[in-house]
Amino acid sequence: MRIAQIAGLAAVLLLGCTFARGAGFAAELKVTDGKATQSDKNKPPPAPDQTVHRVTLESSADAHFTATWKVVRKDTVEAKDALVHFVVVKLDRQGQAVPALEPGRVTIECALTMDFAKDKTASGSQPFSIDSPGIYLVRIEAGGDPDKPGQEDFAEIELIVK
Amino acid sequence: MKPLAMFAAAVLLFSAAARAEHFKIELTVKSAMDEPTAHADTDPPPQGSNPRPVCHAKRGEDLTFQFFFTSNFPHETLKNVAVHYYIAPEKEAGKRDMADPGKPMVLEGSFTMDFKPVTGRVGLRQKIHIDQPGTYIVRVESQHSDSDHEHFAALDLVVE
Repeated sequence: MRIAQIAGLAAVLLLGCTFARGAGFAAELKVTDGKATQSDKNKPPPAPDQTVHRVTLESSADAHFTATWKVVRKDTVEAKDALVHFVVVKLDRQGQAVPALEPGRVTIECALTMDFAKDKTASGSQPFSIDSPGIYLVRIEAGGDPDKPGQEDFAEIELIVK
Repeated sequence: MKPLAMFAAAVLLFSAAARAEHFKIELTVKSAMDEPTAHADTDPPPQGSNPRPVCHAKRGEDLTFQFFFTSNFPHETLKNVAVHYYIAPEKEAGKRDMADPGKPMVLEGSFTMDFKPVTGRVGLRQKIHIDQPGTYIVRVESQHSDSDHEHFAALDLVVE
């Protein structure tokens, strides 16, 4: 094998490792409507053309939801000014990728920035209500770069509101 | 730019002014009639020293509740600070009273995080509606900030 081919293969492997590893955070998410609870922990991001299979929570439009989440730094390298982002956004269908966060779709959105040394955590508890039936994505993500999507670690749950 | 970008970018760009407080806070409730903004005050006393702005709204209308909470402490990172926010019934707008302890809150949430000088910040934007006419206090506050005082911003929401 020629050196250029080896270098190319190494580059592909490195990119693959980066993709699988994410941003070095563990993300946990729990959503409850007071009767039922669903939870998720971070997992590797799906390939761009892959259908997303998420855990679901079915509820009614008059329910009061609470999302609790926690982000923990797992990588030994400190993350400086890391972005943690939480959102509840309406989807057109189950398994849809994260849509554009147009104001009309978004029920609640939060973001924070801080330094994360290894094992450093941030957490939140966000109550919210949903007025109209539909499919909603509840998502916590950490380490994302708005200019480089797909590198963040995340956990997410789909709400099926009837 | 990715979907998350708009609000997250707003949080990233929200900057603290050079003032003496540990935190800079901007709290807003937007209704069809009003969009007042409350700024940082100090506790004690619990009700602070500034009068609370008033937002008027109709029951059931869509409201936007938003705040930005930013470190303004230049010396060191404030660790494990809780940012607590709530909307709760109160007896009367324009008074210094706090939430009515006998009535349940409409909304109550929190974050726990470190606040690094200058860049440490959290922001929230949420659609809400309130179906019961009445007067409500809307407040976001620091807790456990390792100081002899805490910071908050608060406004009154009058729902007719």
